[in-house]
Amino acid sequence: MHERTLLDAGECVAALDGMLASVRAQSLPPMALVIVDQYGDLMALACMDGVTPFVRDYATKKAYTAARMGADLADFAARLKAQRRSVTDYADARLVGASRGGLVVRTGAGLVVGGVGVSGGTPEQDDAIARIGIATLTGG
Amino acid sequence: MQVRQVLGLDEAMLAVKAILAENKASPGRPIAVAIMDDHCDLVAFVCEAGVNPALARQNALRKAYTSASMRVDTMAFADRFDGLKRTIADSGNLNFTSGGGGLVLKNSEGLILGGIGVSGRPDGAEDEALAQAGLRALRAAGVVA
Repeated sequence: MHERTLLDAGECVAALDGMLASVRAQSLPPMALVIVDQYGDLMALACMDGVTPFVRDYATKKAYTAARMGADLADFAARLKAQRRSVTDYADARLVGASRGGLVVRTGAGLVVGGVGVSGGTPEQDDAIARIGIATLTGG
Repeated sequence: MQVRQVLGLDEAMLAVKAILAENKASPGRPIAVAIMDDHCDLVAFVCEAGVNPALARQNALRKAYTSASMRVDTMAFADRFDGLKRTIADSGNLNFTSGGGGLVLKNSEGLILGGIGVSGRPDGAEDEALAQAGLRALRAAGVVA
């Protein structure tokens, strides 16, 4: 037997609320905010009014990529580049090679429990909002 | 050109939170909650830890999708086929479901705003009872009729 740590709905709603509050306080463009579990399965999603269809899908794929690869997208993208590989080598259509706006969620012990994906702003804005989600989910 | 009123994130989150509160008041198997707009695009979604991975997420999405696209509560969707020599499967759309827990969102003028989908409980009637909490919240806010 072994244990599996799971994100819960209350934490996910709090993370969405925190991220939304920050987007609104800074008057950033409408964003899509996505939280997935360690399998890359959807745990929570909020699409702000006016989000484009591309942005909605991209945020979901960023969260999926961070969770599945167990890495923040910046690190994953750097790793691909160093290895001279492409994200398409993994033959998984849901993986993206973006380098911002996707962060892995880990427990204090370093266990991967999910991913946060944000899209709609500049890469820097996406990353900053995703960090707020991570902080809420990890109690930071 | 035309301009259409569309369900927004504020309304979707209001429904999600009302359903989660109702869920807390009558605990049971973990659920997934999906709110879609009239285009069947997901506006808000929340899933509880430990949901049945094979069923709850997909079914919450299918219920919201069926309600929003077919303009019907999913419990009543099967009735549409009564007396017809065909079944839901004949529609050829694998995202249609007649499982209880999908509710159509309509404003006072009959405009379709989208759908709610709840899944996870052992019985569709239980899913629907939770979904109703979302509808009540939207009705209280004057969003739906």
